[in-house]
Amino acid sequence: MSKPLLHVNDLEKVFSSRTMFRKKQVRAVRDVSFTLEAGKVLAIVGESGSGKSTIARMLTNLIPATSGDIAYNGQSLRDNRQLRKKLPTFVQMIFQDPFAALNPHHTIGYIIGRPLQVHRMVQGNTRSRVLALLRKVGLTPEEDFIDKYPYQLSGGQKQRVIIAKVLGLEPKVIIADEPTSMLDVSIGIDIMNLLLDLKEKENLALLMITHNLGSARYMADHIAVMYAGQVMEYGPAEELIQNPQHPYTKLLLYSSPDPWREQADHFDLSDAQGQAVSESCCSFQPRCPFATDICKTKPAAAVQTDSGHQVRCHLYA
Amino acid sequence: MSDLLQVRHLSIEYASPRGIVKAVDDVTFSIGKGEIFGLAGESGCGKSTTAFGISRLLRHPAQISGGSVVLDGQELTTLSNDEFDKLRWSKISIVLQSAMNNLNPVLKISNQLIDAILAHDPSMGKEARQRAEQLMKLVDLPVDRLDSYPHELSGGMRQRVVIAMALALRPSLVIMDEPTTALDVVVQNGIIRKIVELQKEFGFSILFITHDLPLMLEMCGRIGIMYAGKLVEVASREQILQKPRHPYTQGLLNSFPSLSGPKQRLSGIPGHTPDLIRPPAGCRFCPRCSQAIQECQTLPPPLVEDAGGQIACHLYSEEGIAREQASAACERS
Amino acid sequence: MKKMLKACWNAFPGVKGKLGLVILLFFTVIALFGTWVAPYPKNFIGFDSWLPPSVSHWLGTDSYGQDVLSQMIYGTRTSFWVGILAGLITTVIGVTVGIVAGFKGGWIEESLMRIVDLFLIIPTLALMIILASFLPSMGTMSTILIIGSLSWLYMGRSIRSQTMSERQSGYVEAARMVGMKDWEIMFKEILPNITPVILANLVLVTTQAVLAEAGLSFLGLGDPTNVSWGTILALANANNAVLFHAWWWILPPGLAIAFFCFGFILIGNGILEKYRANRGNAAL
Repeated sequence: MSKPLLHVNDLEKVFSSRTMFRKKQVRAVRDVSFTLEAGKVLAIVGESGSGKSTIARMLTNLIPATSGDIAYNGQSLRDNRQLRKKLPTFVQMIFQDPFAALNPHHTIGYIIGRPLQVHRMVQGNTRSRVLALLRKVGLTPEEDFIDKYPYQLSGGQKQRVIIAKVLGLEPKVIIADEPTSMLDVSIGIDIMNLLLDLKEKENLALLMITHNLGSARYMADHIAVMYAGQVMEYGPAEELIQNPQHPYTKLLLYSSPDPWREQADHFDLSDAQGQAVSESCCSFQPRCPFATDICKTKPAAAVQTDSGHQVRCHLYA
Repeated sequence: MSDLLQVRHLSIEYASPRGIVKAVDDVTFSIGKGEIFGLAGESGCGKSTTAFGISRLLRHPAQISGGSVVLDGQELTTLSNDEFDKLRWSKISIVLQSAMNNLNPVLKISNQLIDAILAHDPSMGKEARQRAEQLMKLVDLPVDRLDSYPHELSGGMRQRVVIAMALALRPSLVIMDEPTTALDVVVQNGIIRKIVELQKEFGFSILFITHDLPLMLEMCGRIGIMYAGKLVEVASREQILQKPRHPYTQGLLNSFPSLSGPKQRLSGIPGHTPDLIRPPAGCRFCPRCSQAIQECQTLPPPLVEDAGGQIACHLYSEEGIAREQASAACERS
Repeated sequence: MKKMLKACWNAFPGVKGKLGLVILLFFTVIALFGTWVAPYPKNFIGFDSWLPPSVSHWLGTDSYGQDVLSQMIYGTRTSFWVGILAGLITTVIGVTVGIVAGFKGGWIEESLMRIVDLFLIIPTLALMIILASFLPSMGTMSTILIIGSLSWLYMGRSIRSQTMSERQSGYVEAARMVGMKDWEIMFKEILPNITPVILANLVLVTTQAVLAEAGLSFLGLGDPTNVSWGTILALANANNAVLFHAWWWILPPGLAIAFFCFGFILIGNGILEKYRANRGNAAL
């Protein structure tokens, strides 16, 4: 087994907002641990508000973690100015909205070339390096694209520009935050294929954040299913999809439209989302059809099941 | 099955600074009584514009430039705005993707529901409140939620309120334009199941519009696929699942990663959608089509009706089929 | 050269923008070459007073016997430069404070904005009057400095709020993601995107500067040796031009101020309209 490029341990993020009279705290992410190796893809799946994008932003140091540890190549991000400074050349992120992520006032050449200059990744001719990057992401003929402005490109082409820009910094880890959700499906699958190909070619570690289990299965070697800031189930992708253990994973799978599968079992659920849940119980308990008394009194801990998943559920304790 | 809605040769265009955009070009389909008909396609294909054209929600400068829309024997395109407003809600209602955010934030749900009911049936009076309560039960919302303000409800709940509003006057056709796109899958699933359940109970027809083909394949009986303003294929759900005919339908189906079956590399569709101001001379899908033949470049394929539904593709015209058989024969020998 | 002129011409969008440009060009030419155009030297007294417009005095003479047209032409130079320079000072301070406060947030924003608030509650014109009467006079320059340093407040606020909304955009996050320095994000990523707002504000503050100069001069707080539209108006008022029906003394400076501001406002509106059309929204 190769050494993990990225090691996340007990990550926690608390957002606190202060109004005049009271302090409100939201634990957006808690007890999140995982590792990521070169050449592998991990998908973090969850609904909106599950904390998956918060993790991405902590990993790229856009926001600081409240507690817990993020280590790249064995070096902790905490109290490490040196590492934080050169972090952009180690981990990069592809954003959800390619339409907003490109500055409308700069040319494609500037957008891709400028980060290279910031990190002194090029000696001499930036332009030829940018052309090579454009070629790499399939924007050919590359001479046509380099002097264009973002508004002259389609959504798919914009996302490719972003990928080219990210690749220029030669990161080891790429985080893709819903890279296809703003694109048409036929274009989105192209982007996913491009990411998979690049991962193979450059031996990248890819962290894919998505709400779509189908894309997660398509891309990932491992899947982590998140709910209310916690990882509910973690396991090898195909295993997890075919043999889900946690009630929430089952619920997600059952709810995802897939006309090709055989009729799933009837799965009754309550739509009690958004309910405040005290910390002394399982966070999924209000919606869980299998909840028992213990679920209401004790938070569930992650356990290893026989099938090799980690499941955060009292049913498997 | 008799047809409730007949759309014939509908064309919608709007003027842009660069020229006239044919957003919907010669679209023909019909929806039976009590049928769920799906209209699928990618962004800019004209599916929403078609729905807006039918329900007269087109905004200037978009306008219907030709064709007819007949609902229950009544021609809609020639009605005056006042006459059309009488039909709205009572015969035809629409649920939009953004509708849940369009509830008035300073009015209670009850006021908005009752207003909608009274606006079209002033004779209701006090009964309106009862009707509102019934509607809430219909969409599985607790009655006491009537006294909430929109921001106190989750997105899914608000979309349920909107659906309840749309059903308030028992319309015969409900148009749903991406009603669940902004919602999480679990919530979406609950709402879709509710819609199907209500449709079975009351027997209204639904024109369901989404880009999410798998979702559509789970709930719609018949499906029309649109590409670049043209309707390219109409077929039953089974037909599309088992043997999609149009190359675009095939490509689209091959773009959705599935949750079941063997994991395989999907190809998507190369290229991008054409410019609707200057569409390709022949078939609009031709530049992206892997099976294109010579006619495709010069001759737009007509939408023809056959045993399998409707299809607009040269591969399925008589000559196309003949050629295919000939090439198959060549391969055999 | 021809190409460049054409590009400049096209940079001012719409009929409004182009009309505004023509008006401003007219004033620029007078401001730059006025000394050669003016029929008589500056402050030259030697004609009869209260002469109505005639062939030798197109705009008549005033109560001191000065040629009004010549005074107007010299006055244009002062008012023009006060408008442009004070407008530029205002813009530089306003943009810097606005972007830094909007982008940095936290205590930097708090303290900058409190300073702005402090100045905002003091009536600016009153403060200008006080400063103008107590500061050692440096002629027109001190007028420019006083106006420039006191009129950036609203501009700072509007630039700040625009920056705050730009800060949320994806491209700013992307820029932080690749490790760009703060100053680069502020002035190379955000600044180009708020240029239309800055231009619109620039138009406004320049207009205000001209008006403020006229106001200060009118009150007798300008440079007494210099002539500007404001001082002409002030003199006309002090010498009861209205009573003598000397419209040729009052109307020209009034109209000049109005047209100068009008030209700037037209340009600003033209730019804003184009910006709105490009972004497809009516916000702003």
